[in-house]
Amino acid sequence: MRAWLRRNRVSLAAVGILAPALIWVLYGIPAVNRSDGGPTIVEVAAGNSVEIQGYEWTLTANVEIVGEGIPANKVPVGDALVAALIEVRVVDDAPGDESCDATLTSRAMGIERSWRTESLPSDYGYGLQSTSDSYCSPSGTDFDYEMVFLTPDGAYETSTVDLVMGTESTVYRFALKH
Amino acid sequence: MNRLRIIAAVIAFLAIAGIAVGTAPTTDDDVVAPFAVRGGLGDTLETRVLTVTALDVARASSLDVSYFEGLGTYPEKLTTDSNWIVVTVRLTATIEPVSLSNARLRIGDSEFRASEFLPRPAITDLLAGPGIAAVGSLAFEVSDAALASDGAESAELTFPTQFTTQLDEIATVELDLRDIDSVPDYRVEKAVIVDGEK
Repeated sequence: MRAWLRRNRVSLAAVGILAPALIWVLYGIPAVNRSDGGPTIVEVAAGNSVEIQGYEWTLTANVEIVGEGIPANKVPVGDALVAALIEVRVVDDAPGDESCDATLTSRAMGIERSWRTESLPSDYGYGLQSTSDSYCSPSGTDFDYEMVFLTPDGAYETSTVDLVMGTESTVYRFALKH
Repeated sequence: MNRLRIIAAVIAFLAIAGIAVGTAPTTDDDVVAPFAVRGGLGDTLETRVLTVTALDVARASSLDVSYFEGLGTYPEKLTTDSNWIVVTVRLTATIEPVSLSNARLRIGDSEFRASEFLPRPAITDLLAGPGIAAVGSLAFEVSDAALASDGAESAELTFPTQFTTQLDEIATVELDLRDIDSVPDYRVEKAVIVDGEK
């Protein structure tokens, strides 16, 4: 046995180095890439606040308007209008000239589907509050960000408002109030 | 005797290898070709990424596009020395918004792209969210020769949703374009969100 080990010591050393290297290439590197590739998710429970870049963000209200048909309430049958209000308050040293983007995202049945904010919610008979902004552009002062999404009926129950600041990779995931 | 067996085995191996090589696909296209989900006018076709129905088809020499709502001005009529084939479609994306800007009308060996001249809001640039139904028109500028060809009897309207269609499912509407009467002026309606199907 000892003689066999001595004869094959170079081969065994090569296997000892190459086998872990192969496992690392096949499984280790893809795993590292996967963990680096996804965004960081910050969950914000319903009614809670989160501080982002010198502002405190609180989702204070949300509502679903079920479609009764375009002649009836301007929302198509089978669809629903979902509106959400996030109060944004300056905490300290809040920078101006920021921007953010919000989507309503459902993960029902393991499938992630997202809807962008409607730029003209009045097309669906929805009037924004006079004190709200329909765009997200923090400028160093308090403001209320009112988002409106057109979704299929039923998405409301399984959705969150996902907020991304500028080009950041962090997603702030606000739970809706039900 | 043993040598004969070896020779027979080698010949058998070479024969099997020859058959395998001879019947192997000659190009990757045969292996990764897209899957066509076929139907006719009025049929609802479901692929992985969209549900689409061709509702109507028309032929005209001029399109009335006075629905234009954008800033500035846009011609109210789009005329052609050839033919406009206008297909009204109903579209619902499944998982994420899809664009119909890659829609193609295939007549025989010729392929026509959907015109980008229809003003906004057109179905080619309306990116409704998943599960939201929209209706709008696709317009194809098609020559007289193509419409008079044998291929017009079995034209195909396809909806590739990505630049690369390998192994993709592609909704394919089979159309007979021979007997569609041409009208001088066809009014195109803007693309709109419509009632879904509950």
